[in-house]
Parts: sequence; C-alpha cells; structure tokens
Amino acid sequence: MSSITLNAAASANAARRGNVLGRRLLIAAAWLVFAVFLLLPLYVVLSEALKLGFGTFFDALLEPDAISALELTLLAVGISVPLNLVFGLAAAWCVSKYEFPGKSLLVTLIDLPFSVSPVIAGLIYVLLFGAQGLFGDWLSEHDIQIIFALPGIVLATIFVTLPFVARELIPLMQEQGTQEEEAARLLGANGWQMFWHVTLPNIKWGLIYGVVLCTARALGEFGAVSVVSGHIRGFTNTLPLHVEILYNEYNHVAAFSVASLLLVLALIILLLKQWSEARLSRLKSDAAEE
Amino acid sequence: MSIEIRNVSKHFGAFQALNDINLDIHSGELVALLGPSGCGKTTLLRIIAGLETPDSGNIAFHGEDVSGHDVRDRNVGFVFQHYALFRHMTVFDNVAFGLRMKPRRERPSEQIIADKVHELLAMVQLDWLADRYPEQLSGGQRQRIALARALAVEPKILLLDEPFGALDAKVRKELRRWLARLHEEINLTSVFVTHDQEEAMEVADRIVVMNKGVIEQIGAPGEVYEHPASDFVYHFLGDSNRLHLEGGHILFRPHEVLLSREAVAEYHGAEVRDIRPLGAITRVTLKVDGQNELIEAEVVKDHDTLVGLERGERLFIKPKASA
Ligand SMILES: Nc1ncnc2c1ncn2[C@@H]1O[C@H](COP(=O)(O)OP(=O)(O)OP(=O)(O)O)[C@@H](O)[C@H]1O
Ligand SMILES: [Mg+2]
Repeated sequence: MSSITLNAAASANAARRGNVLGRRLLIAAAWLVFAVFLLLPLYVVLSEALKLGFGTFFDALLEPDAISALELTLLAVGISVPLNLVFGLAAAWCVSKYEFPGKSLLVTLIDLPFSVSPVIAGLIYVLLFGAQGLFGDWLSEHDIQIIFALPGIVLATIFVTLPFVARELIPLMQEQGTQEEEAARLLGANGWQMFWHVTLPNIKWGLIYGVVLCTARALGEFGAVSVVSGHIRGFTNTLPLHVEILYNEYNHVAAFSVASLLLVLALIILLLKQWSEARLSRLKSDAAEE
Repeated sequence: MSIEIRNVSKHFGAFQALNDINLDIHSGELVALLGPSGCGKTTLLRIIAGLETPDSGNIAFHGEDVSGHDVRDRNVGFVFQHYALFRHMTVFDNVAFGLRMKPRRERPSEQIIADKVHELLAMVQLDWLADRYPEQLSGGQRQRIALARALAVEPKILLLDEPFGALDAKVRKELRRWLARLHEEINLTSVFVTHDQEEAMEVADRIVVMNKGVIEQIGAPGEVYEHPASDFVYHFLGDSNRLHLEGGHILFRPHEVLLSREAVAEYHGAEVRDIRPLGAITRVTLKVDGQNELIEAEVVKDHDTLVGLERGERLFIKPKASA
C-alpha cells in the first residue's frame, strides 16, 4: 500500500522533472531562434557599418544622397501618418458609433492592405497614375506627376499603413460604447467638445499605439514604394531604397551604415510602442475591473 | 415644465418598439414608466431626451414642439442605467462638465463653478469624494454622482433610466426616498423608468404601465392598483391568485382572502402546502380542491386560523371581493 503511494509520488516527481526539462528546452530554443534571426543580423549590421571606423560611417550618413533619402522618408512619413491617423479615427468612429448598411464590408476592406502584397499595391498605383495608366493622359495634360514622384510614394505608404490606426481603435471604441458621448451631449457639449473632452481621452493610448505601429511600417516600407518611386537618386529614393542601391553597388559599408540609421529609428519606435502598450493594457485592466 | 408626447411610434428594423404612445406629464410631476423588460421604456425615455428620433409623432415641452431640437438644446437631465460617468475625469470634473461646456458668454467663472459643484456634492452627501475617479466609487455613490452631474446645468426635466436597478435592496430604498424628497425640494418634472412595481408605487405621483410598446394604463398608484385596466396590469402590479370557478375564473391578491378552519358556505376547501412567516404577515400556500394552480394567502401573523396550523391540514378560503 505505502509502496504504491511512494511509487506514484516518484512517477509524479519524474513527470514534473520531465516538465521542467521540457520547459527549459523550449525556452532555450526560443532564445536561440531569437539570437540567430534577430540579434545576429543586428550585430552584423552594426559591425559591418563600423568596419572601417566611425569616419566612414558618418561619411555614408552625411553624403547628400543619404540625407535627401532621409528627408524624403521623413516627409513621406510626416504626410502619410497624420492622414492615416485622421482616416483611422474617422473609420473607427463610424464603425463603432453608427449603424449603417455595408458596415461589415467596410471593416473587411480596412484589412485589405494587410492581405495584398505591397508590390501589387505599388503596381495598382502605376496602372492608375502611370504614363500609360488610366489617368495618365489627363495627368500629363495637367502636368501633374504622381508616379516616380513624392505623391506616388506617399500614396503607396498610406496604402500599406492604412489599417494600423483603425484596427487598434475599432475594438477599443466598440468596447467603450456611446454612452459617455451621449452624456456629454446631454450636458450641452457640442460635437467638437465631446470629441476633445470625452472621446479622445478615452482612446488616447490606443491611438498613440496605432500611430507608432503605423510610423514604424511607413519608415521601413520597401515593396510598394520601390515600384512607384523610380529610384531617382537624390530625388525619389527613400532610406530603404537607398540602402538597396548602395548594397547593389557593392558599397557594403555605406549600405550598412544607412541601414543602422533605420535600425536606430526602429528601436526608438519600439520603445514608444512598449510604453504606449503598457499604458493601454493598464487602461484595459482598469476597464475590466469595473 | 410639462411634457406632451403625441402619437410617438418607433421601429428598430422590423421590430416595433413603440406603438402610438400618447402621454401628458404635468409640470412638477414625478412619473414612473413601469413595465417588463423589453417593453420600450428606455426607448421612450431616449426619445424624450432627443437621443433617439421617433419614426412618427412629436414631443413638446411646455407646449413648444421640440421634435426638431438637438439633444443639447433640450436641457434635460438624464441619468443612465449604468451611470456613464466620464471615466478619465475626477468626480469634481464630472459634475463640473456641464457648466464648463457652456458657451463662453454664459460660462460661469471657475470659482463659481467650484462653489456650485461643491454645493451639489454636498447635496448628494459625497463632498469628500471630489478627487476620486469613477472606478473608485461604489455603485450607490456613482449613482448619486451621476445625479449631481445631471442637475448641475439646472435642467427643468430630469429623466432617470432604472436609477436604482444595479443597487442592493437597502441602498435602493434609501436612494428612492431621497430622490422623492429631492424632487419635492427642487422644482423638477421627473420621469423614471423601472420594472419594479413596488418602487413605482412608493415614489411616483403617477404610474404609466407599459407592455410591448403600448401604454396599458396611466394613473395614480392607488388607482392602477385598485382599478387595473387589464389582466396584464393586474398581474404586473403585484402577486395575484387565480381561482377557477364554474364558467371562468376570478383574480385576487394574496391579502384579499378570508380563511377559516371550519367549512363555511361559499368557502373552498384547500390543503395547506406551506406556511411562511414574513414578519408582520404570514404567507400560507394552499392547494384548492379541484385545481392545480396553487394559491397564496397572506394574513396578519396573529390571525386566528394560524394558531397551531401545520402543513397538510385543511383550510377553507374565500376571496374577499368576489367581484
Ligand atoms: N438600438 C436598437 N436596435 C434594435 N433594437 C432595439 C434597439 N434599442 C432597443 N431595441 C429593442 O426595442 C425593444 C425595447 O427596448 P428598450 O430598451 O426600450 O426596453 P426596456 O423597456 O427599457 O427594457 P429593459 O427593462 O430590459 O431595459 C427591445 O425589444 C429591444 O430589443
Ligand atoms: Mg431599459
């Protein structure tokens, strides 16, 4: 009798030991994958960039083409992110506060850029606005250049980053409902006051999170932008495109130097994301407690 | 300020939530909208406030048609069932909100706003909570803050959607008496929604009984209780018994009953199934011969027939007002 219990206890212990071992192996494997696929490339980028010392590193960054690529990237981000912020807010507002026909279709369409390959997104714009495109004649008559110019780059960036803000806000706003807004209106607030004093504070952290994600994607977008930009050095090259050109010219040190600039921007954004995410999850757990 | 509701109907898709509602609420009255879940009480309240537009019909305040007026121009106070306090604002800021949203010309100074807010918080006896956030309050406290917030802009009409619905029995009782007093003190026309008949009877000047989107009866509490216009109203306003007789049945309330230990003419024989002392009264559950539906009789606790009464014994009963 007692030996049976002992045996049972021993096998339970063995099982537990097995569990612990399995868990350790799994965690080790996760770290290994992380190291090989993420840390190693990071290390390679930085070491390649600094291979010939800081002098060449900064030369590559301060070269006019690099600076104009950085300017163009920041300009494209600066235009497309605010536009997507406005669009995302408006879409989330419509979806969560009103009932209208075609609502679920709209929600599905918002996700379209996630499922369409960025290259195809770029091609769509070429087909629409390119010289041989649908509106090509009209555009050239009026001397408007979209493809191989800033508007095309901005359009492509907007397309690929369209879902981020809306996706983040829709569930948040749906969960919060409309009662606080109704209460505000009953207390005499006009539409703007209601938005500013009630809606915005309630969605603030979700909005920041969405914008951060959107910015990260806009900074790094390659495929769609590559199709519409035309790769005109010093004019229509964004940072990721500039990196590719340098690399194709076997200018590895310069390519990696510019790449590390993108990397630093990405890390800053990652920190911002972490911070807004923490605030957001605290907000959600507060709401859940209620 | 009086409220006149004329021929108001409202559909949600194919579902008719309100069907040709007509109702006059006099200035200074406290009216209860009473009815079962889903009968359209909230919808009617929201239409009065302007949060919902009726398909047809109109709403007038003091004779002036306000159907076309926006919510913010109607100046009604509204207390939501789940309070809808602004979650990111302190109690103070919640109550101050209405005053701060006024157009610049009419907006009082921050000093006057602060005085007013503290006055309101003192009125709802929660002055000490001014710096808390809504999530740090109990249900009853949130309820009173929601009320203070609605009253800050000095509405002439106060609408309350199940104001005590989410509270426990004791707090409910306290709050509804307090509300009735408050209604007396400040000159308001109030409409409150409830599905609790006791609450409606205790607080309201008049009760509007609703069912499936129509008004079944309007009247003072005593009137609807004593002279219900339909079986529905009768059932809804209190416990009821049904006694089957040859050629029909009669309805009566548990207290409207005569009991006897001995057989008497016109009395019905019955078996005692249960005896429940409920304080001042005692409830006896009876199975009348020849019908399966049980009958509940409520008599004062020292009633003669109760002395030594046990389950399974026989009693004889007769509805008091065999009308
Ligand atoms: N926005 C809406 N869309 C569709 N149907 C609705 C909507 N609002 C209310 N209804 C329906 O209208 C009917 C009346 O709703 P209402 O909220 O007025 O009921 P109520 O009397 O307040 O019920 P309760 O006591 O449960 O709060 C319900 O059957 C409800 O399903
Ligand atoms: Mg309701």
